[in-house]
Amino acid sequence: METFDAIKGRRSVRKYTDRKIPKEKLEEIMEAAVWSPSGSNVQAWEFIVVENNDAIKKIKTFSPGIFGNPAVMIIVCRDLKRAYEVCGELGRDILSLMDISMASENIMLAAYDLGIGSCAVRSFGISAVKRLYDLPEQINPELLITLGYPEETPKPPKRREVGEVVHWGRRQVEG
Amino acid sequence: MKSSTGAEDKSRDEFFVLLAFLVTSARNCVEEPKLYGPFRLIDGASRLIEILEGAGMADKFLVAVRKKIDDGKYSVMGDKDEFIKFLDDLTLDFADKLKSEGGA
Repeated sequence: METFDAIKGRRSVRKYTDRKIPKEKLEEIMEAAVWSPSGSNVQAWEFIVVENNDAIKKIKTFSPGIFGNPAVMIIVCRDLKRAYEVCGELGRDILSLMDISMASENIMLAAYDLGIGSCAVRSFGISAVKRLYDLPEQINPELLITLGYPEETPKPPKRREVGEVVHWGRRQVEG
Repeated sequence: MKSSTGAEDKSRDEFFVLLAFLVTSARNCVEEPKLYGPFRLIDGASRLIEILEGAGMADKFLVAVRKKIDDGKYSVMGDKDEFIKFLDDLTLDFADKLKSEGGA
């Protein structure tokens, strides 16, 4: 698949079939995650891949933003200690968030390339997930990514026009 | 002590999940977009009806309401006006139902 086709074709999928995702595909997807850009190459990210149905159900219980029954859930975490040690407050508060965002996009594009749907979800109980997984203080779950074979693919959402948001050379609009 | 039946255990589990949803939603609504408040409430209504359906306690009206919610709730993601109209329609459905039953 062409990169641009994946970028334009990916949707936030909220209805999945029961089909399982083969392990080798998941490994490929996670390989894509660790090859994303990282500020100062700190890579202050960790990913918990949850495949067990009961475990997924438990996370869903504390995730108002998750719809449908995904085959897999990825808990995308920041390692605040690692980010701070290398890049100080900038690393801890900003760069690490940018890094996991870029890694998440890699995950979702790689999944799409393999015919797997995904949805990034921030609406979940961060403290509850931290407790369920006994995560140490410095490891913060920031995003859940659901994965599964789509039962339904949403229509493309409205996008702001390129001409409205892209400024060639200089921003010309007021305000 | 009265021992619980399988059906009671199922209901307890379903209500636990619903309550966890409500509590987590309440916490997240502190920071989430304003429109997510009504979205969580209406989604919570759908989840409650689903439990009632499972227990054989939902009538045709409630089943239709749940279907309408599930078909329209995602408009919150893309079209604020459409979402508000969808909430207005649902409110009117309840008013019409009450009227038709001779209430109010």
